[in-house]
Amino acid sequence: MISTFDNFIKGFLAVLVGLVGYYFVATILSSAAEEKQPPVPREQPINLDFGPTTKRADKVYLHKATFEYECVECHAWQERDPSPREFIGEHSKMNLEHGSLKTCFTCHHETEYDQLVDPRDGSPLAYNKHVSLCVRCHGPVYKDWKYGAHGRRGGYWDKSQGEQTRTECIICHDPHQPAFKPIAPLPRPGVARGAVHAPSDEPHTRVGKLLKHKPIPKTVRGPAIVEWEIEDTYDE
Amino acid sequence: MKDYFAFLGRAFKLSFVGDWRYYAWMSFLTIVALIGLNAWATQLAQGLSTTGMTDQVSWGAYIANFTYFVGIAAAAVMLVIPAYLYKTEPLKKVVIFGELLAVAVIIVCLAFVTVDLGRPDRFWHMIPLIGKFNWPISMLSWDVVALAGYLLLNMHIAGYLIYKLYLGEEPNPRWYKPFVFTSIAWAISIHTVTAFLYVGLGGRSFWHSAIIAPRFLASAFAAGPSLIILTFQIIRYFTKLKVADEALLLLRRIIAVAMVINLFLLFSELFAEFYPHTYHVAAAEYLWFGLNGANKLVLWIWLAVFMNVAATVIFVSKRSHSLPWLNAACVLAIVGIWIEKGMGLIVPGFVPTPLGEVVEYAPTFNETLVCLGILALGALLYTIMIRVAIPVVLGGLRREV
Amino acid sequence: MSDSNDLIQIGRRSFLKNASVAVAGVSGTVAALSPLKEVVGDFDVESWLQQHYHELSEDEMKDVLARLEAEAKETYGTDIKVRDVKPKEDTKFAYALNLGVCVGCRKCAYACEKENNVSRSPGMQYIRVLEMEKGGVNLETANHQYEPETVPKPDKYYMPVQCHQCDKPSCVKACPVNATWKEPDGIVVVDYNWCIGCRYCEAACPYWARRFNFEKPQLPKEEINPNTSYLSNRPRPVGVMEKCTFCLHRTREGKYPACLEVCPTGARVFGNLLDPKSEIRYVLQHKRVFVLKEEVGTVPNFFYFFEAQS
Repeated sequence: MISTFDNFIKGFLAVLVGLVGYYFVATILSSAAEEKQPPVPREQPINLDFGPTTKRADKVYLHKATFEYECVECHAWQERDPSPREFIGEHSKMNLEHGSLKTCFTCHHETEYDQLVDPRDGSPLAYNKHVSLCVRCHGPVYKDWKYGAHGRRGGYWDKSQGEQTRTECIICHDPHQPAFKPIAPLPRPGVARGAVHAPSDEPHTRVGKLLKHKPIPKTVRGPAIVEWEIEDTYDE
Repeated sequence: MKDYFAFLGRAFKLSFVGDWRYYAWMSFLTIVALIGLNAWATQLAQGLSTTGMTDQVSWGAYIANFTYFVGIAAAAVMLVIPAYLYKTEPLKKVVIFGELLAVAVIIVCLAFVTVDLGRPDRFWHMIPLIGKFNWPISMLSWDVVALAGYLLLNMHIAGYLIYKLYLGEEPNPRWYKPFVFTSIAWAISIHTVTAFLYVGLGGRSFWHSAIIAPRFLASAFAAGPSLIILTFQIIRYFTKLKVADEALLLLRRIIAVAMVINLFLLFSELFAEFYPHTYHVAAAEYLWFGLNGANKLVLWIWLAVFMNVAATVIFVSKRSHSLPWLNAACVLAIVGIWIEKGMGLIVPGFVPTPLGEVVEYAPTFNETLVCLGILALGALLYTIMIRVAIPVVLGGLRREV
Repeated sequence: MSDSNDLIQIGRRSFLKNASVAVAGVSGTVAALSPLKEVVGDFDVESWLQQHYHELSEDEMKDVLARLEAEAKETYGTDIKVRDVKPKEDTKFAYALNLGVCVGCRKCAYACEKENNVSRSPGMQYIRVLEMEKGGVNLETANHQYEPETVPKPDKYYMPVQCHQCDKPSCVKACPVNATWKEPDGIVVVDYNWCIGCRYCEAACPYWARRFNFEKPQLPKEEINPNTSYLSNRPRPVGVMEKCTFCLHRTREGKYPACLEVCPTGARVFGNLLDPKSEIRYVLQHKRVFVLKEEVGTVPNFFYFFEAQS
């Protein structure tokens, strides 16, 4: 009798110790397994710039000392000098890097200062018709732009269901420096686990080798940064 | 029917009976299996981020082990063919233990696939009519059919023969011979289908090669019988079953041929990759020499080649007639082929990614625990099976009249 | 034989021994499964029993959508709308990308992540922008993790890659449960409630376009896009595949996908291939387009062309 009871107690204690010990070991082991890293929040908000694509260029103003001046306000009383000129006065901070263009009057009208010029006959051309000026030299790109292969579009691809927007030339391209400036890319994607081994930066192709040592020009192709405001109405 | 349940009941009770070594072994396996189960539960709770897998290397240790063990399971056929087709006497007595090993190993394979799934609770989606089974288009669907069929075949064959022996009745050939011959073809097919899982992916040039299926079979028929040789010696040592040396030596000859073919196929593959040296061989480049500074697998694969060559040399030479040399060669073959098929096949298929990114993979601690747990489960099942089968075969366990 | 003798001797003592062993085994198993305590509450029987998208009746679909909205409310505390946006008639979507104009800013990748409620886990973004070396199209030397001060670098060009919605998709072929299929308007979709997470489709894709949720999606509450649809950007659970769907919740209603809206240089062109006057048709007709890995035979609907101006 006693020995059976003894065994029963021993058995019961053995089971209890086994359970406790096992649970202990299992808990330790499962916490020794991968610790979950909390997500690292991004330092700065990512600027995505979903718009704007709806501005049209109608008029150009000079913004100075909180005032807005139309070009003719100064040029009405200034003497006109037709020779090739440097950028002076309010134009001194401008760089002209538009391909082989050297003069202002390829695009700007010589006497109507708030208008562009139509090169076919020299007549003034409103700013909101600038596309018909750009096309005189940039025919192929114009065709691509017209049919959607060039330039930003937004809104609806299916015009029967909503409005489709597209950008006109000078919304993205600064006419004095149409090539885009480089921008900082958004952060790299990274990898969840394991090390990434990036390819070496040494060029592998002949073209790559040629371009590797090419000096980086001041304005390299990059996304648009429009630095000056374009108003579409002028309130009296 | 009542007899059958009585048999199962006795078998269940018998699996808890044995000497202290049996208890130690079973307790050890149970503990490892439970640790693995715990690790899997952690994985189920947190998701597969507890493993080392990423979108870049999306299959790892689980599928590597699955692939390897499907080969081991298929290798039971290397016992069945001599025993049933050629009626080789020493093998006829032990073939059933090979078939039981196939059952245990297939269950291990199914376990490896289950732990690899992101949503194992949705397993029912694979059942035809209730779920949606993309057979015959998806190669995975073929694999499900092949593995389930092979499991059922071997369970039936071994189970029927054991039960008939237990009853003391003569087994009816109609109820096992057709299944045995089917299992021969089926064994070849399970490993071919598993190979086709990889070969069928045209986007991964490391795998899109006709040589994969023959290499699979050759390496399976080397590693599987090697494991069987070792297992039979363990059984011979710990139980009363007498496994004749001739059985082991016959397996040795099969392994020798398979290893030579495997090496030739390896050489063939290396030539095809490195002589033309197109950009498609980036994965082979990564495996054998390293890529962009990533070289975690280089040492492993060269070690595997060394082991396989050494094993082949030993198997082919007369030295392996002696058991110590034979066992050494078996261990070399098992480990070498495991490395070659696991790390040497699965991981390089993902490095570099189809877009050229090089991200390395290593299994995590949790992942390793799950793998070990599954292996322990397989060993546990196999030990129980032979704990019952051997007394039946030797006459110690019979229906009580 | 001693084995049968062992059995004959089963009496009370060995029964107790065996019983305690069995009890220890069962309790050990229960203890091993303890981590599941955390997620037992997440398990929903209705969700588990839900049928495949193609088998759901309209009423069943309404219930499913309501349940998904409730689940999202519970998980994230935000009200979202989940709709089942059907494909438009006579539509086949295609995408073109001007490699001469892409500057590699990655705004498309981040806009997509936000629009589609993608987990912020590293590397999950559907769009992967590759920094390619000028002079060829060599993916082996592409850099995924570029982060120079400014882009573009003069000796590189930039190639975003996302799901190409192939006409002969390897991923659809591979899926064992038909959890991914090609819709009538060309988009290859995933039923997140049917996917078993085997990742065979991820191995099959020649463009590395598919992503798997290795963990519960890291989705910041404040950044959730509440306008979702069943087959595209509704919040997903752990353990299932996902990928770019050409923003079908937008494009099937006539809008541009998010990646195109945000691209600062207008490198992306999207539209209906069946409309002869569409922008995408113009590009395919008048530009020299190519596809990636054409030899793999997947027939992608994502075309690249170069219209470089420098």
